[in-house]
Amino acid sequence: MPWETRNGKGRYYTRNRREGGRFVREYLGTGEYGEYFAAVDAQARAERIERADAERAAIADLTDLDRRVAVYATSVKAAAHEALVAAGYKRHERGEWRKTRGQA
Amino acid sequence: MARRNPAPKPERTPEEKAQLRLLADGGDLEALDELIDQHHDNDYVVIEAGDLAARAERDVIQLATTTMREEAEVARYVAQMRTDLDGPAPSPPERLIIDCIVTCWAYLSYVQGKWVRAQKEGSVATQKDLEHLLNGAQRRYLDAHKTLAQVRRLIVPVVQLNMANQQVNVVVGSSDGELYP
Repeated sequence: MPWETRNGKGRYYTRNRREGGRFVREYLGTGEYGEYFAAVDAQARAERIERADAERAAIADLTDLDRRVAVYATSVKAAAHEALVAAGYKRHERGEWRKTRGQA
Repeated sequence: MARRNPAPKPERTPEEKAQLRLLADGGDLEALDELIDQHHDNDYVVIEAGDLAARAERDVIQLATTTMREEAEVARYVAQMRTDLDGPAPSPPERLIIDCIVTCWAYLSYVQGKWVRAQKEGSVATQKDLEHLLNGAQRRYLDAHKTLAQVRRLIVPVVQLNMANQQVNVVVGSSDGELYP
């Protein structure tokens, strides 16, 4: 919790940050100073959440488009393979395409 | 296909162009098509609404661009790319694959742009997601090129010539128009 009291006295606004692998608690102020820093942090937090939501939505849209492009590319590839089969080719063990016997 | 063999269209007056711009801004897709078409001097970027491949391509282009001018420029580049890949006489399977390559390229470029931006300002989760999408887009693009090469190499029409009452089979390469015995 960012607001901290010591022995039931005072109400300090604090921030936690990482420094060299350990957490350091920074005391920013009490009273109006504390309220000010709390408002600044709340604003930053709200912006961060908003940005993360927007990024998630963009990724979801992109994933949807990706799925559609993938379906399209797969169907074109399948059509090309069908054309090769119709031209007398057979895929050898999922590798190269070879002319089937009697077609050469 | 209209994207390859467009019918010539009459030149619009400035008033008609302004009217088209208004309609396009209001979401009229036909007006937008015509405007893009008018923007090009040698109009061969008409995209048919009934062609699903063309629609997929246009969806990707619209998503990747923000202004109509940008969209027209990308559409022009894509048309040039299609012409380059087509060669002199592409067969129907080749045309199908080339359309797919063009769409995959447009999508790949879009994801690449997103990925580069995410490296600067995106979260780690977004960067990972985009990297995954980018890998898929690259694989699909290269795969489409590979399929085109396979079809070009393997499906070549055979032409029979009858010279001095002796039948000779001649294979005609579809991509470069050369004759190969």
